[in-house]
Amino acid sequence: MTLKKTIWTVALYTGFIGALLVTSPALQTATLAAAVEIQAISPPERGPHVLPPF
Amino acid sequence: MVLFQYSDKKGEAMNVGSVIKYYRSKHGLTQQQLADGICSISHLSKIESNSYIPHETTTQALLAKMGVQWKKEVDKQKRLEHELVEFIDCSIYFDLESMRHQYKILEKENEYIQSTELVNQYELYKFRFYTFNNDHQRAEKQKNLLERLKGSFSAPEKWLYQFFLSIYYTMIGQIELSLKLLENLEEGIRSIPQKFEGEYYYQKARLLILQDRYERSAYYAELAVRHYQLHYNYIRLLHAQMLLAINYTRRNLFVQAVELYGVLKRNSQITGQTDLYHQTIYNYAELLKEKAENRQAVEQLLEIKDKLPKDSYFYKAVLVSLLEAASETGQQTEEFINELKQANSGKNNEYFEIHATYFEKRFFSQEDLLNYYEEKMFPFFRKNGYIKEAKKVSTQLALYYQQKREWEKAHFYSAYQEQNGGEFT
Repeated sequence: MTLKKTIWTVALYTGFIGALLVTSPALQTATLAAAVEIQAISPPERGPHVLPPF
Repeated sequence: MVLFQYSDKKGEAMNVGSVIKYYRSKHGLTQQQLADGICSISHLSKIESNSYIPHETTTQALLAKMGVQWKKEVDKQKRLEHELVEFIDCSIYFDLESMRHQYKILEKENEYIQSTELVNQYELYKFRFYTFNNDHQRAEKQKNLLERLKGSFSAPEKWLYQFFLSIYYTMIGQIELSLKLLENLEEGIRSIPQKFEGEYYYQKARLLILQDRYERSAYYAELAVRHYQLHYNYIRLLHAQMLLAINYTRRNLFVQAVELYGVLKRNSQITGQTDLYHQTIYNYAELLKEKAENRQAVEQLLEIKDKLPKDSYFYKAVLVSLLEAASETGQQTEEFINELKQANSGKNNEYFEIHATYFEKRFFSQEDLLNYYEEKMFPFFRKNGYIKEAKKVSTQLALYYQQKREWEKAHFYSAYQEQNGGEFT
């Protein structure tokens, strides 16, 4: 009985933490950053361009 | 937008003490002379250090002794605050002409502002003003001043200081440091003063494109566009759209880029943004060249060439672009070569000199041109980080050595191309 209860508790908590991670903005940023790294390898093929003022 | 409004009730947030001190010093009075018959010296001392808020009658009496009327004083502060709001709005809406005008008005009152609670904000926006004007010397001086003042900054003022500091580093070309400062600000993203949200996204998008981080840059540029649209910030909207257009071009999203350039050409003309219009044409011509529509690119560049100041860097860049497009279409280029040489004769910039010589050599022997590629152009482009140009030259050299069956050199030049990536699609 105790084992069953423990398994349920673990399962529920894992699900809860998982859901938290999926919606966390920190994680979304990390995914975004990873996508950026691929782009960063690419050298500027186009241009030169004039950038608008800062 | 002044971040904190002052109240004129009892003059509590107006730093009435500082104002009294300002006038006392201006009239060359001692505390004893001023306090005489009105209050004690220690009382006046506390008032002047803003550690005690005096009763309105005391304030009026002290000021009246120096010929200053309290009501007029409150009005003056309100007027100055209004001028400062104008100054700030000009910076947000990129109305530089009006900002210069406001700066002149406020600088006349500089000494007085120093005695008011507006001082921090005024000094902060002056910093931004100097970066707008690309005035390195004044901006650096202002940065040092703000470093000393920053102990007295409120939370939003601290945020602004970090933000302007990041723009300052952009101005002096320290892109990494600039981006780092912006990224630190992101942690407190909820504390962005509302009017700065668009500006924050815009600066971030601009820095990211400089680092060739296109996807992320597009994400922020789109946020900036949305924000500027929402707040009717038309000039900055054009700037953000220009970032997006460059971004799309570099990512081969030509259809989207063409559409944006159409909008930019039309709207920069309607709003009288001549410089921006010229820059749009230049960037658009780059896109046309990518699409092998060189004849159209020549037409576009010819439209702006003679409208630019002959001694400007931009004029020379337009000529190089024009030469590239014209030589692809087989048009006459001598005239443009001469113009480029003439424009470069005073300031002798190596990049332009190399291009002028290169286009000239194209008329002569192939051997001569390839020697020039190898000895001058390729080392220069590689050393100075002109990746696109270096790749173009190395392609030619690789082909040449393959034909000559000099495999070692052929391998070196083709390996350079591969190392630096092919087309990224």
